[in-house]
Amino acid sequence: MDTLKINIDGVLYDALPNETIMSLADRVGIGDRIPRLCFDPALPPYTSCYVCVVEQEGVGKLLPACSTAVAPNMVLHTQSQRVESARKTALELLMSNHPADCVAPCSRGCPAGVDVQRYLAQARNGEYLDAVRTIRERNPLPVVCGRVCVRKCEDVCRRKYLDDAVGINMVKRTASDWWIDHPYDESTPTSTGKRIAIVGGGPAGLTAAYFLRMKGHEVTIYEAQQKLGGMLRWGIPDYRLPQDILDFEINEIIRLGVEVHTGVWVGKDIPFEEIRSKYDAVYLSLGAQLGSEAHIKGEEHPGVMTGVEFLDSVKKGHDLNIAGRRVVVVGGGNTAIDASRTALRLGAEHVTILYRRTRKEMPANPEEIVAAEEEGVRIEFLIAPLEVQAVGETLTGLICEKMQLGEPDASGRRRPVPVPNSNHMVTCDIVIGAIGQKVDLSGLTGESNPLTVTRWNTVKADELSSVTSIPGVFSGGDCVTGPAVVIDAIGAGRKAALSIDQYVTVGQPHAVVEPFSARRENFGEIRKAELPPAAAYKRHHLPSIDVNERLSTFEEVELSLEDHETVEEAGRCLSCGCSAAPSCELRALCERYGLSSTVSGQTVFQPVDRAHPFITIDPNKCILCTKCVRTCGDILGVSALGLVNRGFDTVISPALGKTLMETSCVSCGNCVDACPTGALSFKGLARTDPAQKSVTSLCTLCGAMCSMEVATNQFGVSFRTAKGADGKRTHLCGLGRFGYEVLQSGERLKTPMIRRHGALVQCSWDEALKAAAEGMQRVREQNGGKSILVSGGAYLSCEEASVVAQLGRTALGARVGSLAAVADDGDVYSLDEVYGATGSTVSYDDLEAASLILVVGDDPMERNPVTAARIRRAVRNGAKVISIMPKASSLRWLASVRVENHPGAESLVLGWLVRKIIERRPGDVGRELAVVRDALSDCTENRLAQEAGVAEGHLEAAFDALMKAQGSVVAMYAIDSPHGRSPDSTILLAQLLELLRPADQRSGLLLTQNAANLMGLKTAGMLPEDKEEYVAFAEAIRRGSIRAAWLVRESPSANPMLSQALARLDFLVVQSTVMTEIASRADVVLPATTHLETGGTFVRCDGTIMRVDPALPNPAAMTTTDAIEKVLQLLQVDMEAGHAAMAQRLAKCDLRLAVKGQFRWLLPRPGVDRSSRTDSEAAAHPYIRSKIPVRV
Amino acid sequence: MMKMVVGTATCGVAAGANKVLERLKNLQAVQSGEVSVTETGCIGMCFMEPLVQVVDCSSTRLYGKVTPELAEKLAAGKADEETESHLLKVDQETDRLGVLDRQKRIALARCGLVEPSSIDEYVATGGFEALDKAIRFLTPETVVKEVLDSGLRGRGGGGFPTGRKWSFAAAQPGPVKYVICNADEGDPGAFMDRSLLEGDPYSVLEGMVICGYAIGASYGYVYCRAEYPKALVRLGQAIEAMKKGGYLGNNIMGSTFSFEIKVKEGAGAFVCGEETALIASIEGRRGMPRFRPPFPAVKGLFGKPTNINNVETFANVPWIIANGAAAFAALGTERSKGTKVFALAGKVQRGGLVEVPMGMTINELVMDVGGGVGEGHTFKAVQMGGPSGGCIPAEMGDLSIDYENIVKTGAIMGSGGVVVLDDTTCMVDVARYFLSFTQAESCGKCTFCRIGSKRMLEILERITAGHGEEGDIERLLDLAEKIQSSSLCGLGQTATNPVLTTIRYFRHEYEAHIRDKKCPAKSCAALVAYEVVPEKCTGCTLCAKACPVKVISGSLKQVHHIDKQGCIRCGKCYSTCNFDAIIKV
Repeated sequence: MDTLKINIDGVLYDALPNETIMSLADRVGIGDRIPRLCFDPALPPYTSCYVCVVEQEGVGKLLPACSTAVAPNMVLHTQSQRVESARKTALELLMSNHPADCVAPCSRGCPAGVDVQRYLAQARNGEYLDAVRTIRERNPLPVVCGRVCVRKCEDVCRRKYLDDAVGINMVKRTASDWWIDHPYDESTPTSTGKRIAIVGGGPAGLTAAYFLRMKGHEVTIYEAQQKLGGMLRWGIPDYRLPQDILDFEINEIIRLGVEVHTGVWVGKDIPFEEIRSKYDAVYLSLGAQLGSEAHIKGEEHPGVMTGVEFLDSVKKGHDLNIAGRRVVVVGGGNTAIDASRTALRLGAEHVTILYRRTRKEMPANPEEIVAAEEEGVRIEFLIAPLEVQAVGETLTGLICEKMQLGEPDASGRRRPVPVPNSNHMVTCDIVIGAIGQKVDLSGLTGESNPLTVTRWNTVKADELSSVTSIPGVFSGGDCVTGPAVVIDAIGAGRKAALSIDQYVTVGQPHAVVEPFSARRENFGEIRKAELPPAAAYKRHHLPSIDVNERLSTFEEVELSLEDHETVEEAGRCLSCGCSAAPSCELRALCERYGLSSTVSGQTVFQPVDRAHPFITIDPNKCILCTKCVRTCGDILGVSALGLVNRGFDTVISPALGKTLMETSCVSCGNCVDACPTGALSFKGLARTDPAQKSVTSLCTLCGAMCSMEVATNQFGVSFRTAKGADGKRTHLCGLGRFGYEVLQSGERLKTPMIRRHGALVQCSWDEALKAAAEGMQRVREQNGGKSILVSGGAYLSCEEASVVAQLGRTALGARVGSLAAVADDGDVYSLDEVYGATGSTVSYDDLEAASLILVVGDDPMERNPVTAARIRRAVRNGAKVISIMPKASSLRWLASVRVENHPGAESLVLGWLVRKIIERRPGDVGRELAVVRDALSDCTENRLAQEAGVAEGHLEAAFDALMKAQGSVVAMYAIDSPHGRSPDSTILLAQLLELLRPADQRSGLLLTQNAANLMGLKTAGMLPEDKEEYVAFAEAIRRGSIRAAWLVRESPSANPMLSQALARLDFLVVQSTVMTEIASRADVVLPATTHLETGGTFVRCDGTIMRVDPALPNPAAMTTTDAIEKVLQLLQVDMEAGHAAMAQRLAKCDLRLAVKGQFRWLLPRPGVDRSSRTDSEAAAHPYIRSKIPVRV
Repeated sequence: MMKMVVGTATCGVAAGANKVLERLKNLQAVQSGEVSVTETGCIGMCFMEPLVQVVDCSSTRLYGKVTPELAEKLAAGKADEETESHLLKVDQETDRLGVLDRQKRIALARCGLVEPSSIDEYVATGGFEALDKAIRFLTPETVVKEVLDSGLRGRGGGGFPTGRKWSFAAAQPGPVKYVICNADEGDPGAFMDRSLLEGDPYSVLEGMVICGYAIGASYGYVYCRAEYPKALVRLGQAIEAMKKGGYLGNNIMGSTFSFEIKVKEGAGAFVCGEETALIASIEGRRGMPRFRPPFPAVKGLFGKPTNINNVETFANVPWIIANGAAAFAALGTERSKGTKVFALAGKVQRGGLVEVPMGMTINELVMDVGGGVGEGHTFKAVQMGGPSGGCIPAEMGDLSIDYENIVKTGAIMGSGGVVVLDDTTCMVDVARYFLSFTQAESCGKCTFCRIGSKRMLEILERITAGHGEEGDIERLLDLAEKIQSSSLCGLGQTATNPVLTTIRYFRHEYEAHIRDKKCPAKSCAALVAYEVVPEKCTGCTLCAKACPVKVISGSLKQVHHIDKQGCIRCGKCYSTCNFDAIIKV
């Protein structure tokens, strides 16, 4: 083949003629240099996103790499400044019209970045320990935070637009309290040998210690006080955070192997230089321990103290002689509240808080303020102290002035200004000034310690990397920011740990930034209407101990929610975060191109379509790449989605303002697979959480057995992606995508049941299996084995079918088979005499290589949209389609010849074609063909017109197309068509193909089935061996000579004949996943395993053997197979022989080879099957509309 | 016998031609057959509509701004001072305004002169001679060569040599090929295709048939916007008449060549003027462009080789075949041959449709043909090429009009829309207007066109509203460059031309808006204030009465005063004052 030399980024590559720049780049392994959003390898290039642009020397325009073909002597740049700038602008433009959230606002609002949405989901499932683990990924102090956190997450919670914010912290508290009683051991990695000193054992230091330990570093904490905890211990009163609880949480960190030196003041007790020289890195997390002076005259009086001093003294047990005294607290923060409530508990006569602004501006938690007032604290607003009044040692009062609010200051709060001539006296005995805290850096600065300090006397450190002016010394928390709250310190500690880890391992500190996140709030006000529907619970309130009781004790005031309340509270979460965030291609590119999340420009919030049971369309996240539209229309031929409007207002939507549910959508979910963002997403709790396990699996719900990847997490199936064995994206239908959900809907059977006094009651497995075995034996003894029916459904694996067969044949001597085969008239034997076996002679892959596809008897789109998609692909590659069907099927646009016949009359059409082909043969056709021809002599145009309703012209066209066929011809026939089959259709099709010889090797018959593993059941020996046995089996059921039945995942209720035949049984055992109609009539009900839980062997309807691992655990104690094997043991059957036989059969099984060996001409007897169903009748058939699997 | 011909093209109808026609038809003289009344298309003097031609044995006289009453007088054969004041042209003499004489009419040759629905008049004026010549005497290759040699370039805007386009399609293997006539004229201010289809549909269809013969196609589509009802009627009539006359259908004019034409109505999406979007629309899909190559000549309508030309291009073809390539090539400039039809609109005195040889200067077009701008105003710029075009300042008025020269200015020839702008036109607002059009008409496919043009529009809106910021011009230029270089079709690639050319030639106006919060043209409402000139105010109180927010104070015969604080800048006082006593500042 000719090649072209193309220069890309200075390197010459050989390009193939007509390939695009992108395909060349992908082929030579530099595809990652060209980002892409609208390109879908399964579809022709579309060229809309323009992030794949590259620059060609000498060409003014940028070239979209996805659609520009290579040309001789091209010199291309994929990463030039111009290219990168254009790509970045494209992304900025896309994001400027993306009014949506990547990450929920709660997580973004949390300084530690805790994945709130996830732990709420875990708590809602009652998985408290998982919730704690989630929190501790970011915050190692959940118990502390569960009590004292200021809850920035709740401030930004979207639920408040509906009613009140989710009580996030209440949930955290319940979960973390549970953890106190159920601590788990954490393992740390092997030591890196790096040593890190942490100066200050408060929340920042403890957090840094935890994360550094989890990285395998050796950590030593130096704490000036006698105990760890910092302000958690000395600044927060016990009634909010009991000591023992704090001790527990600190210990959970220390016991990971953190070395602790308490009572050591670095810089006083041990020189800072020494620490610096002994360790690979130092983290300064000193906190802000000193109370600020109030700058009021006379504040040096011993009756005046700072809030920090006061709380610290109380904690340390000093007697401050508060009882009976009048206390004034100055300030409006949490320390002021803590001090005042503590003073009350120490017996103060009364406590007054003076605050210079109003309640609205108070920085303390509103709940704390309310609690303080409940307890009797008076708060006076707009008052500022001026001077302490004292008579000698005795403080008499505080001269104050009134304030009023003026213009807003730098903090955005309105500045208080004095009201002239408003001085007055507030009498009191003790003044506590809680107006702020300062950092004590003594011993850490100086010549040998060039630690740069800010003008507020805090450590100067970089916000993202935590580095200070001294290499190897990091700092964070209050000593850098000034007094802040616990969760800020935790966030700082984690950031520092990550940066220090990089510093000691690779030598470079690391700026810790959260990944790019789009933010809905950047696009204007959030309206109620745009929020998802949510559980109707109101916000719960934490219970607390009685007010009177509180004042006499330092016992914890607030209590936990009850379990059910916690679950309800967690259930109030709206799951704002985007479920696609972890895999979003748009977000990844925004991250790669360093976009900031700020936007400019107008946008309009579009309503979200949530009407579909499985799929949500959120146009606000759409980038109009139309991969969904093209997948739906061009690949599946459904066209449920399209583009609406023009210009900036263009959106992807179903036409005419409909919801997806109101369209022709077949619920296959391939649009969601195609979506590069979260505009299309799967619904459900399981999907809000990242997948933890991914299993290459198989949809075993119909005979096409599409391969897929099943991702699971602790909530169950998180998503299913259509993925071929080569890892490339393929397609699934609704059955594969959502069949599991449908099968799971309703209550799963997990415990066996047995009939007692007319009612089914739960019992043990042993009891149930014994009753089942004995019941069957009894019937066998009374009526003989042939009065017993052992039958398994088509979803069973070969292994399951094999034990069913052993139970029936070996153990009970029963009639063994599948009701599906009875309902479907046994076409599964129809070619035994022709080929020596019945099965497909070509594979699914041959379908796409065919040049002529003959579709007989059923609509592939209806049965299996994926197969229909493959036909469509074949047509795109130039194949012709002849359809012979009882109605205008979805292939009508594709078929070049359409024969529309009455239901059940296909064989007349086929007979006519076969006769015609033989007649046209030149010369002597031989005796065999002559006999066949003569047998078909009554397949005349006349008869066809009358009985099949087929006009002549169409037949001629079909005949011509067959005669002209070049290349391979594949005939598809649905052997379990819901429309019914006409006699001898398979034989006639086989003869037709035989007559068209010599054809391509890949020509042949593809027998499709909806009854999933029908071929496998046959292979496993569960079906009757041959037509004769099958007829006897079917007859026995029809005659009603069955006295007992053991049904494994069978549902005869939908078929009146079967239902009637099984109406009066002496004994019935049903193995089922859910309580079906037949199960409700059983004497013994055994839980069964289902799709995705059952591993094993399956035989695809083209004869391919497929093996699959279970993706999900079995919810019951025993699997289907376990239960039957146990019964076989009880019946003393040696299973070895049966297993060996089955293995042998599977090993030998290659249906395609088996049926290709020979051909025997039979005499076909085409006719019209009068029982065939019209469309509406067929709709009632259990296998129609492949969307709905039968729950068995 | 007297014959009266009323111009009933859309421009005429808009000016009241139907009333004139109705009055005439009801006259006794007409009903008795003494006077015959027929219709014709647009002769180009749209500013003088309704036009009526009076033909009697002695002369042919053209009257403008004819009222039903005047028409009655004319029908009665009266000539007085009033009728003569409406007389524009007698016989072949120079018209009184000199509008027609500067023109050279090829495409428009029959417009306004023949009855558009009459195939007989078409044949009588030389119609189908070219088709006859092509089919009988020329091979398809020769026809392509004639068109190539004529130097005819695509009149839809791109200016691609028509002969080359034909040769590409001709070189593709058959048997099925298509000819498409692009009649999706969507530029605001452009109406030459509409006039042509209303005034002389046969010449366009004849051009298509000749094209079909030349490239080996048997099917043609006219893609015409549904907003042109009259043109659609004329097309339908013409196609029927041509089928009857053997000019369409099987064995055209007795030859072995067969050709059919269907009319496809477009739903008014501007982007469907782009050829791949147009093809998608005919195919029944959403009108969205696709990446080229493959070009339509290789893979066009229904995947078959397709040649697309616009209305005016096809209308030129019969003339070229009939008169020879050399005759056509003798007109125009070195690289732009023949004539070009322009739709003159905007602040020009004589708006209308003119066809002039290529190479005429902008000044000649605006001043001599168009009569310049209104009295008391100065000619500032022309906006050429519709929303994909750009503004060329008056200083460049001596530029001779051909494809290359226009492109050099940053504008494009386009389909020939020429909007004349004067000193009252704000150039930022002009850019904003045209961008708002393309922005709304984007098909929504490409990121840059869909969102980028919206963001540019927002900046322009901000600037004209007085909220422009430093850096806005640079932001506009940066986005414009990216939209140009990263959009799939012409709509996106050219959408920013109005912005780029106005920044290029009128940057000071942008700066005045942004820095001084002033609109030099005093056009942007938000940047204009109104003041009373005391010397001129007569105290008539009209302005105070007109003011919707009652911020004008002053009593009768006293100088009035406008309180700028409360003024909403609606301009009611300005337009109400009879003494020019209110000015914009």
